[in-house]
Amino acid sequence: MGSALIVTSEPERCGNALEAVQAGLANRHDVRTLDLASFRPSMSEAEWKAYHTDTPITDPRVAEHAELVQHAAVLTFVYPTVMWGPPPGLKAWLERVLVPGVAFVLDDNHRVRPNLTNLRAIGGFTVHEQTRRELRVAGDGGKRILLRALRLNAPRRLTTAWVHSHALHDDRFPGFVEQAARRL
Amino acid sequence: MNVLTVSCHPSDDSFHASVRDAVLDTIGPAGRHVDVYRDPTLEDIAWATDLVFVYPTWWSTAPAPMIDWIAAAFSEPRRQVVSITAITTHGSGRFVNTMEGHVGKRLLMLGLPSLCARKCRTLWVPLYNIDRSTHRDRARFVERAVRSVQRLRV
Repeated sequence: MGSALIVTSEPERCGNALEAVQAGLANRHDVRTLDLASFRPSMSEAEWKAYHTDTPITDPRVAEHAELVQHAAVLTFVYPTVMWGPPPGLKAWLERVLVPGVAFVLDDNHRVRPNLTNLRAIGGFTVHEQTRRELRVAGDGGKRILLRALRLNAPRRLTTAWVHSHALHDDRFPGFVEQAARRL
Repeated sequence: MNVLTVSCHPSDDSFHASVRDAVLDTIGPAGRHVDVYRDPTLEDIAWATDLVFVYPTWWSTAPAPMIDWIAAAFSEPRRQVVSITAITTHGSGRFVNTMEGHVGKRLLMLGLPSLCARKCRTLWVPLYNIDRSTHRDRARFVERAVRSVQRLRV
């Protein structure tokens, strides 16, 4: 069994999506859920200063998350989409945990090289608080960050899943989420 | 013209701080400033007609505290806002950012204007590849940033 990580910010604003992802992943993976409720939602000055050193992680909780990310075969995200993208809690997690040496390494020329060598799948499950029409104005930033920017740090062969809903109480949403998570 | 500069960086000991200070000096004392890292007040959003965002791009978009501020400030439309200027630095190049989808640019140049005045003007002032930039590249970027806000000087 590979290990699967669910990173979730404000799952209570996503209907039953979190339970559905957990259920979908449970048969084939050891599932670990990281709820970012008590995770500091901003990079501190000390962390910023440490970013380009050999030890960019200063907080033990961040170190624990970074280790889980590096061992994960499946990385999934459950969050409400706020202002065309991930909410501040999840955005801060990306900034603080996915630092050089974790998600990527910087070569001598300051170019990013992928470092998530164990990763086989990325999945995103989100509830949009904006309508379809409002979302279309600027598109889904979370999907771009997780399936494009984050993907650049993963091996070339990668399974992805993306399920979103515009209605919090959409009865079919958890079913679709579970079905998609099962494939990861 | 009511210019509100919204800046976001954890450290004053940064290139960002010098860009921010050059921008604030250019706009002058009639403008107002909110530093979302230290005091994310929403006091001035109803007053502002011109918004200037100064921030580093991290993971394709603005840092978390700025996303938080924007979400709170635009919980309702701000139809009095007639211009948005975004001054930002990127670690990676223009090509990689385009491939990744320019999330921050879409948010500030397409998303927010849909909540502002119907004819809201936008201006994108980026510095790409900051980690590989020379002193001269950065000096020119500060000049561009200053020029971009000169039209907002009261």
